[in-house]
Amino acid sequence: MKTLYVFKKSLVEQVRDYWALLLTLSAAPFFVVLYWAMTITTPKVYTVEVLNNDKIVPAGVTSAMHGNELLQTIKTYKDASGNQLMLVPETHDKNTILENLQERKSAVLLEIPENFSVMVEACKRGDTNKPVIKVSGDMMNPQYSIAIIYVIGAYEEMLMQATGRERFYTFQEEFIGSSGDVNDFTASVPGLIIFSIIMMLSTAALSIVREIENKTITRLQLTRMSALDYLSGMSLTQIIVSILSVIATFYTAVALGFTAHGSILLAILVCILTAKSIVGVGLIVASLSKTSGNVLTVGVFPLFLLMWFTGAMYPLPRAELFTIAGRQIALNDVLSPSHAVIALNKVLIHGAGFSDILFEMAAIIFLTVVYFLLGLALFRKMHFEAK
Amino acid sequence: MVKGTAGDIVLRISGLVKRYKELTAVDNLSLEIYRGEVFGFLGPNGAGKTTAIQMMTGILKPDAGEIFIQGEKLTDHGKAKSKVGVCPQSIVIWNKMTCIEQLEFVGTMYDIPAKIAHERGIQLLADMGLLEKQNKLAGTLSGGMQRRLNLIIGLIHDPDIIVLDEPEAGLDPQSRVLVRDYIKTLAGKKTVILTTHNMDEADRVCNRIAIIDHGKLLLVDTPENLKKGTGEGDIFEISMNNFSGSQSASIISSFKTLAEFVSISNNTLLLRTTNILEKLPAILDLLKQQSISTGEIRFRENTLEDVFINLTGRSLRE
Repeated sequence: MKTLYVFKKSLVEQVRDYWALLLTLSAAPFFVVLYWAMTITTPKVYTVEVLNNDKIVPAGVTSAMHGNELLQTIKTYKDASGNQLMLVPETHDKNTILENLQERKSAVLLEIPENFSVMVEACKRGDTNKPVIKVSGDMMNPQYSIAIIYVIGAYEEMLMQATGRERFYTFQEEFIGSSGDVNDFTASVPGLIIFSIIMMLSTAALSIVREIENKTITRLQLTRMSALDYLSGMSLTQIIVSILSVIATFYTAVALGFTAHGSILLAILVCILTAKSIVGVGLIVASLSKTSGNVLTVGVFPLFLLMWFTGAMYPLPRAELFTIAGRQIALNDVLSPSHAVIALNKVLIHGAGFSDILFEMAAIIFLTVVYFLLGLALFRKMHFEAK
Repeated sequence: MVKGTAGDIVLRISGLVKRYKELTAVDNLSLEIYRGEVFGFLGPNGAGKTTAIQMMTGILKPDAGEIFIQGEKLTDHGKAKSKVGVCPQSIVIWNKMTCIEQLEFVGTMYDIPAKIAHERGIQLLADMGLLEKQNKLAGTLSGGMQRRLNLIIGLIHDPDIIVLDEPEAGLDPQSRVLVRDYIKTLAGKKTVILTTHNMDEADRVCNRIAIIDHGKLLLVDTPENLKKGTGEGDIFEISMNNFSGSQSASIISSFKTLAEFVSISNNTLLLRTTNILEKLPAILDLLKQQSISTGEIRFRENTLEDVFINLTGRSLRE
């Protein structure tokens, strides 16, 4: 019963602090709008720098200049909206080009050798020596890996046209679930929803720390209320705020073109469980803090881990540790959002059902219990028991 | 005011010790507080009052010693803790809750049914002149009103023992009179433990007073006995016009034979002696010999402040 009174009190306080509530609820939807604006309104263009050293084949043999043909093929590549996919700037100074690659202004450098046309012509005649092109780029630039695929595609296409040969393999591509129809924005929505929940960490911790800072916790310490009553009641309010934030984030994404391919109710269930676990982390942060300022410093560490090492912001390599019941457990599996991102991707993008995300749900519930118990024990020790 | 008797002990402290690293904040404190009395807790800043009070209320755990409330040992989870109501020195309220909401909330945390907590809350607000503000957010009240609210939050569960830590601090004269009168109405029905720096307040409302310093209990008695115990006679206060600090030692030593207690504070000579009027000419003569011209001359009875200064000294505390 006391939990309900604490819940009522904290809900009343939260609603009356409407500016803070509004900011909390609007942060993640704002981020969605911003991300949408960045991914949708700006066409995806890869800048391909070309140093074309190709020489015309000696007169009398042929007038072909295959280097130029390759450039033209590159320029004809278009995205789904008909926008040019690869831009070829008019730079011929290698130092400037290398600088552009370092500064990620360009994705890749293509160097066409002097004998390119000669080699292509020879190839056409059945010579076994193959024409060579050289590509350079920054492996750490994500644009490089994509641009290089397009450049190779254009090269292959140009060679087939110039030599009259056909591709000697057939390529079949199949997309899992609805991922084939997914654009960058849609692919990022599950991560953004989890991000909106992670953002609740500071709010959850602050709601408790304010009580410590104002010393009202000391008043409550003197009553018959237990630390469990208090934290349960406070957590309920934060979970409600998290759900509101998730709903606001989800429907902002829907308004901007996101389509869920699975059950929204199942996705919300994943979000509720994740919110509870993030509130659990908030309890740990609150237990280790005495002031709102402390929350900002102590809270940065888990916030950083949850945002960057769970796949909420971008896909991560898995540092696998051991195997349980045939499942490989990675280092980042100790963070509940890692499972939440996978579960939400499965549900919202691939249309997966409850049975497909059982492991992730079980992992989130287990971690939530661990976080909450740790938070409770620390809170009792640091703020609730007589010292 | 009803004064309790030794047979009716509601709070017993035995050998209480609290240390913070090198500092012993409370040093072997033992006390018995009786039902229905208003018990004053006096001491300079850093004397250990608040630490002692916090141990009595269960906020702090003693390093040694025991506390019994109505015969039950005070523990973290026992019921004894909820027999005490606390009005902390600083304002501890929920700014985003209305006056009545926070009274009801704290009441329910003491297992009081919501309806009863509401009724008690309304009564307490009325007692403190805050009834009209019952639905106002606490954060919007004036400082004085917040202090009055701060007081009654600790009383919502109708505790047998009420601890008031500096209840008059920050109050305007009207609120001060209201709070003082309220404390007087509690006396007899409840046991009130009061800490204050206001000696006048302690003298007026307390049945017994304990003076502590450096964590140790120096004296505990009724205000009358404390004043008597500090020495016979009355106090002379003589303002010295052309006094310089270098004369202090010679003036104090020259009055040793005439007065039981001699002190100089703010260019004023303080003397405690019997037959004060008979000795006045001799006192003035002595001052003339020291080339001191006198200004205003007053005499008064011993006060609690004299007792306090006598026991704890004049040196400033951290």
